[in-house]
Amino acid sequence: MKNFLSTHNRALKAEWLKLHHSGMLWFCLAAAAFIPAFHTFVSFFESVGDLSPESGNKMIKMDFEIFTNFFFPVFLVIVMVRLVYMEHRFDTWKLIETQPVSKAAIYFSKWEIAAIISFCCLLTLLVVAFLGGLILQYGRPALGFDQSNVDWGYALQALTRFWIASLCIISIQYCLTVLVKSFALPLSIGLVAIFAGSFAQALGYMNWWPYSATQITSDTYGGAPNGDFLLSHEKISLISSLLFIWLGYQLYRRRSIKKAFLSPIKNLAVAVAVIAVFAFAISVVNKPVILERYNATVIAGEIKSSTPVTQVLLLRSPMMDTILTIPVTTDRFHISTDKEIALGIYLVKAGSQVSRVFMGSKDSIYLSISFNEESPVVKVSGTRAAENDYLVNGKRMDMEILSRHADNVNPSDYADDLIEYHNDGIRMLETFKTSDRIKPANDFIRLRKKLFATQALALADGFYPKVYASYFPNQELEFPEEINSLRASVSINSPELISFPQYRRYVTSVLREKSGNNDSLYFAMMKDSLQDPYTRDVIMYEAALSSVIKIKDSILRNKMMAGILLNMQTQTAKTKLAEANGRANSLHSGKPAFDFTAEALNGKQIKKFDFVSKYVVVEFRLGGCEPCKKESIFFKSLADRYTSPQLAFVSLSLDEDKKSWHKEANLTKENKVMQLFSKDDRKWISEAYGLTKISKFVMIDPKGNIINPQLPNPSEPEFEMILQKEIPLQRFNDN
Amino acid sequence: MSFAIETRDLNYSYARDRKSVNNLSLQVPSGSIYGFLGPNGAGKTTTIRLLTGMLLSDKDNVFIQGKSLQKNLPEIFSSMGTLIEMPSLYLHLSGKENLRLIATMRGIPRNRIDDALQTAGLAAVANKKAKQYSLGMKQRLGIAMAMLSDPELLILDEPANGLDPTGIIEVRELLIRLNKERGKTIFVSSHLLGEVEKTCTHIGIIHHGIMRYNGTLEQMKASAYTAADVIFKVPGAEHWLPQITPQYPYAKTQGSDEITLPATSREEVTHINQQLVRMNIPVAGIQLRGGLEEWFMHIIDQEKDKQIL
Repeated sequence: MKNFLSTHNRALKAEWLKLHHSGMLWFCLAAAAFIPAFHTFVSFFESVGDLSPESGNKMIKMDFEIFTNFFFPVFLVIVMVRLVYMEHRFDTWKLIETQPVSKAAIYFSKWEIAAIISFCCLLTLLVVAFLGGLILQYGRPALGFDQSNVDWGYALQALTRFWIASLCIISIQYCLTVLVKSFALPLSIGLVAIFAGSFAQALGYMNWWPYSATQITSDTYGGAPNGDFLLSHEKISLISSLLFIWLGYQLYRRRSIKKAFLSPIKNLAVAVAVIAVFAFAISVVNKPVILERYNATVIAGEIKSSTPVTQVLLLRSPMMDTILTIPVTTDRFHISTDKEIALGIYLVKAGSQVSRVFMGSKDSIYLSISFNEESPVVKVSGTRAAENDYLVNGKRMDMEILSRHADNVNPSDYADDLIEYHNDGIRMLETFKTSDRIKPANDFIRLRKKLFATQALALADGFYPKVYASYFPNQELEFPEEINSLRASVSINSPELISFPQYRRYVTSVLREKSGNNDSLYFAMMKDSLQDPYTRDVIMYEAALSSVIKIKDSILRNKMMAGILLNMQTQTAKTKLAEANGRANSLHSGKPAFDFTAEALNGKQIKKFDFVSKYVVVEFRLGGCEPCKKESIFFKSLADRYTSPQLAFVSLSLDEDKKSWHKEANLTKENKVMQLFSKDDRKWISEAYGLTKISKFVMIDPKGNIINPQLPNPSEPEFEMILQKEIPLQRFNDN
Repeated sequence: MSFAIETRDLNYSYARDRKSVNNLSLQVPSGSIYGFLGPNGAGKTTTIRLLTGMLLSDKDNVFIQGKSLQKNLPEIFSSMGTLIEMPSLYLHLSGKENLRLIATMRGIPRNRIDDALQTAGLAAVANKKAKQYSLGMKQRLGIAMAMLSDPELLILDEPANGLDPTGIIEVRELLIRLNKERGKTIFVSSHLLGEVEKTCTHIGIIHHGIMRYNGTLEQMKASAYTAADVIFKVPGAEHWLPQITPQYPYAKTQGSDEITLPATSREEVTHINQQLVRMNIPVAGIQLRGGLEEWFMHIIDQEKDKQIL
């Protein structure tokens, strides 16, 4: 050790001298600069990815991600092989080993040089990406680099994590190259290890594989969900680096595996002991943890926004009743509450942003909300980090797909499919871990398991019987035993699941099926079979809400609503339902149409009032259902034929994704239909106009009153007939 | 007497059934040029690797300037310069940079580098990459690197290997100069007897891992003499032989006009000659056969004989 310390500096300096004329530094520079330089170059011609806002940070992130995903580990392997092969080639080992420098210093200083090169490479990439951003700031102002500051702390944290992830690759490859005295073989082994790791990562396995470490860091660029500086694979990288430096040094010192680790027996014992200690350390770091509940219920967080936000609301779906109101001061909020919060999914509303969060009492939750017009970004950490990560990123089986593959399938096969999907879902749930090895808590797993059962049963009991009846009429439907055991695991009376829409769908589908599509029987069954008052009210509320939209006859509707409201206990549900019914009543001819705000293709704000003195036919579009697209085409052809300054055809999109709307609307720019993108609260406008998942056509007169709250589809002849009848235009340009 | 290098019963085997170095005891006096002689595969390089700590023997039995090698690694290399087999150089670096590397590792001032280049006759090509050097230049650079820190002891493995005659002479002169002018102890291995004879003051001979001989050049020359034959040119040798055999039972004829007899000293040769003249044998000439080369072969043969038996 004394020798090591006293001779280490000389050895390191000598290693540095060896890099002269070796081309290594140029290689490092070229490897690191290539991606950001190319990115900058290409950005002059087209936008690479979605940069604005935060262009500077995003460019650095993107370049880091691309580089570290594959190129970086390859770079490291090549560097290490070259550094060592430099000695193998003309056996200069014997030259440096007969100098008054300790062997440990020789071995370790070479490792240090590789680690320094790795760091320099990452630093170069960061600097070139930053310079690229500067160039683009002046070269392509449209990309918005002038409005974004680079968050250096964030970038340097990422750099450090990538570097730490690289250390293990260096150490293992070093060990390998010392052992195998050729150029091609260790290089090939390294490359194969990288490829194998990539495949395993793609399939979701081996997230500890050292050669994939930089790739995993790249996938979790933003850091650990729970805020640790290092993710567990990075900690493993550090630990196994030490192990492989030790192993490699033994190999180097003693020249062969046998002498280093096998004989004499003392070496074997030491090797086994060292490996055992490291294996234990790695297993401790790699072991999944389940977070304990906190001793109070705390919700805190931060908001990154250009417009100030004064409060954050915790809402309960589906009635959107406010559970907590949290004041925000200088973009931060914190509340500790004694209020009982039932375990489940809640909505967090900050400004216009709404996002989901799973929590309950005795949870401490931290929310980082960043405002971004295009896509809301809310990161949940704290005691429910793993649960919320699962809800966003967890691989899940889409059981709904089985609703498309039920035709002519006999019950036992269908049950097999359901059980298989159900079991796969549970397996994935049980093996889920966050990138920093946190597992969801058992209460969450229990709830999710029940949900899987409800999903399967919604299909088995709510959906499949209808399909079965049409293919096998007059036959008794009989499922195998497995479905019965599923039935035993969950019932429609599971109030703890009420916040999950899957459960609510299950209950309604089962009751629908039982009631044989008779509305009054349907509501009566809800009243009788659902015991928990809140659960009953929620189910009734949702069912009633869809009836409000469906039933056009106001007398019939009001009568039914009165009956339903009588059976409800929750005040919020009653109020909301009454409001919805009120809106439905006012949504008929002669009543003023609700105002809407929207954005036109040229970015101009449009309001309902802008159409005063014109007849307006509005198409409310929600995404792209196939029949709706067909109707849109008919709508456009009518707009082409009925051209008049007194008549406007408007297509108002309620799409979530502005970009896809923009793309689609741009294609039909020449059309006579005015393309608008709604700026209103989706929920509000849907309720105001009684919208469902399919397009709705509404006609408004020049005073802003409704002529017809629900036109037939444009493909039907009545649409045109109503148009001609209601609008007193002298003559249409009939072409 | 102090020894620059001393080994006591040094053993090493690569394979279990064959010892590459077998109970080797070797003494290199300080201030000597020690020629370590042996045919290819005799164990020379293995011995050198053991002397330089590249291979470690199981026991602590190598001593450099009286100090245990194993206990004083790596600082023992401060007083020791080595060149093992072909010079190991960083070919992508220039001669000067190679020397700078050694200077860095040894922690010695850089101004020695120019001196070393001068001594090795490489000043003109100092900034050329070592890749472009001729074999002789590489060898000289290797020696320059070994003596850069001015160590008391140089261990050189076949420094003349692969060199042309001029190169060999250059290296030889360099070694003699270092020894005479600066008093360095030089341990040099070779498989060329003539080379060793011209350079060294002390000789060690190894064969099949066994030390066959260890002594000064003078002693060796004397020993070599003892193993020589005297050839008397006698026309009609067959005819005269029966007259000689009663007195010299080892006499043999060789061809038709030569009689050979073993002799152990110059006096004995004179004595035999007088006897033969007294017997009226017509001695036409006297010739001494053998010398170092013969003796060297003889030593190696002994080993072979042993193996055959």
